[in-house]
This record gives sequence, C-alpha cells and structure tokens, in this order.
Amino acid sequence: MRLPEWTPELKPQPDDLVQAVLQRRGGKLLPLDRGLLWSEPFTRGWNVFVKAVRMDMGGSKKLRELAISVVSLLTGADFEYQAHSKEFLAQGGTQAELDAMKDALADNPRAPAPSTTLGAIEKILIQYAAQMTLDVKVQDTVFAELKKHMDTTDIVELTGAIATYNMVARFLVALEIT
Amino acid sequence: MRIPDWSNELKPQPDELVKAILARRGGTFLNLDKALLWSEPVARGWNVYLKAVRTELPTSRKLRELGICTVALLTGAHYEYHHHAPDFITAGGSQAELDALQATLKDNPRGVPLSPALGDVEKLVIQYAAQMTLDVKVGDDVFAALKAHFDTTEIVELTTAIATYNMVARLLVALGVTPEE
Repeated sequence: MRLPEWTPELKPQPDDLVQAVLQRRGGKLLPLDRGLLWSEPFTRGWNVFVKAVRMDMGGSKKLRELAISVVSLLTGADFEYQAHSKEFLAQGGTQAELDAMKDALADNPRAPAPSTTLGAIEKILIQYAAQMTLDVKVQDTVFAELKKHMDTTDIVELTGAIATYNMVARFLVALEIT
Repeated sequence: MRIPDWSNELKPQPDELVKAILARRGGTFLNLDKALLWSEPVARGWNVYLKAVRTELPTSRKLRELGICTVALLTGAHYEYHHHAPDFITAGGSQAELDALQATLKDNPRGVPLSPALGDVEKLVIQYAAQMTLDVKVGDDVFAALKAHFDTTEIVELTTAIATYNMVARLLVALGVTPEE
C-alpha cells in the first residue's frame, strides 16, 4: 500500500466500529480495511453500503459477480478480481465462462464477439459493465437489450453493483492495496 | 430517465426508508432518489453512505468538492456537476477556479494544471481526481506530492470522495438521470 497500514495505535477508532468491520469479515481485517480505517465516517458508511450491495440485493448473485469481475479486470484491480471471480464460481459460474469473459474483454470489450460459452444475458451484462466502466455512457441498444431481460429493480441493482465496484477499484488502485 | 420514475405505487418501499430519504433531502425527492428507490438495499445503503461521504468527512470540503467537480466534468455527469459546483462555491471556492478547472480538463486533464487562478493544492487535487477517473492508476509523482500536502486520513478521505463520485456518475449516466427542473 502507498500509505501505512492502519493499526489502532496509529489512529485509534471506536471499538464498536472496529468490531463491526471484523464481524463482517469473519474475524480478520482485509488489507482493504487497513486503508479504510484511517477514516471513521467513511469506514462506518462503507461497512453498511458495500454490505448492502454485496449481500442484501435480490436478483442473481451469479450475474452480479460476473459484472463485478468485468469491472475489476478492466480497471486492473487484481485484489477485487481475486475475491469476486471466486465468488462467481461459488455462485454456480464456471471457469469456462470466466475465460470467455476475459477473451471478450481482450478482443473488444465494448461489443464482445459472439461466444458459445456465454449465454445471452451474460453477454449483454459484460457489455453493459464494460461500457459503464470504460465510457461511462451506455449505448441505447445495450440498455434496450437489458430491459428485455430484466425488470427495473434488477437493472437498478445491477447498475448499482457495477458503479459501486468502479468506486472500490479506484480506491484499491489509487492506494495500491494488494 | 431510461427507467420509470419510482413511485410507491409502482414499487412499495418501507415507510421508514422513504421518510429517512425525504428527511435527508429536506422534504423533496431528487431525480436520483426516483431511480435508487426501485431497490430497497441500494436506497438504504446509499442514504447512509453518501451522507457520510458528503457531510461527515472532516477533510477540507472545498477540496473534496473540487475533486467531485473534476469527476463530474470528466464523466459527463451533468447532474453531478449541477449539484456540486454550487457546493464548491458554498465551501469557499470561486467561479474563477471552476472556469480554470473546465479549461484545464479540456486542454490536458492528466497533466499539471497551469492556470494562475488555481493554487498548488487545488492543482494537485484536480490532477489526482483526473488520473483516478480516466486511468484508475495514479502516477507516483502525483501520489508523492499528495503525501507532502496531506496526512494519511486526509488522503484516504480525498480518495474516497473521488472514488465515490465515480460511482455516482456511472449510475447517473447509465440510467440517464437528469437535473431537476
């Protein structure tokens, strides 16, 4: 990391906050937490918000993790990719799908070529996440296609997840958290 | 907007959540809220988190708003610029600084801003925000200069604000949320 790793000695934080973060992580702080914990209000808000994005949403967790994996590959956030590609596999995704996604991104991320490994929903999602990440603007055709597959709440949650992990990636890469 | 405006008839949400958002906004929903409220966890988490980032961080409000305006301009999130340029002015910034920011970003967003209207710290914040937004990666020279000006908590909070508004911009632009009348 480009900054010192947070410790309670360097910057004391309220015990309830540290306990809440530890509880969410199952007892052990991640390197990410040692960046966040330099700011109390930020850590407090993050712990609520990112938990909601990751755990409380309805819709397909597999599709969400696929989109997050797209964001982390395109932003070079290796830490994020490690965590979320694993989660994608745990949610029923396959290594073949991850490989096909990588090929699609290497080829033309804004309009991936047809792949027999990826389903229609997966393909449109990869394109949506790639356009949001690289261009911010999303083509009308892509958004229209998305609407065919998902209801409004699913779209908002997926958009929220892709946007959130663009934030996470920027925090990780700027501070070089590995 | 590319999706319908949320209403409680279209998608009922818990009363306490709707009231908490209205309380934060001073009684009227923003267009952004009419997108977020399609999802309870998104609306709930956002209301807690963005309040913290926007109003509870002790690091210089003026510099944070300058970083946010940089993000808004570079991502084309007019909605975000529309809300944060006035906040920058309220926090002690000037219109001359905003004009210099716009000129710099048009000219060479990744480089060192040259305008005499901007102080050294302001130039550095703009450069940091521009590199985080456009390239994700930040040059070692820029990060070293940040360390010379700010302590660790200030750097974390500035980084957070810039990263967070990259998130906000993406949600706004993807869903086509436009400024209130």
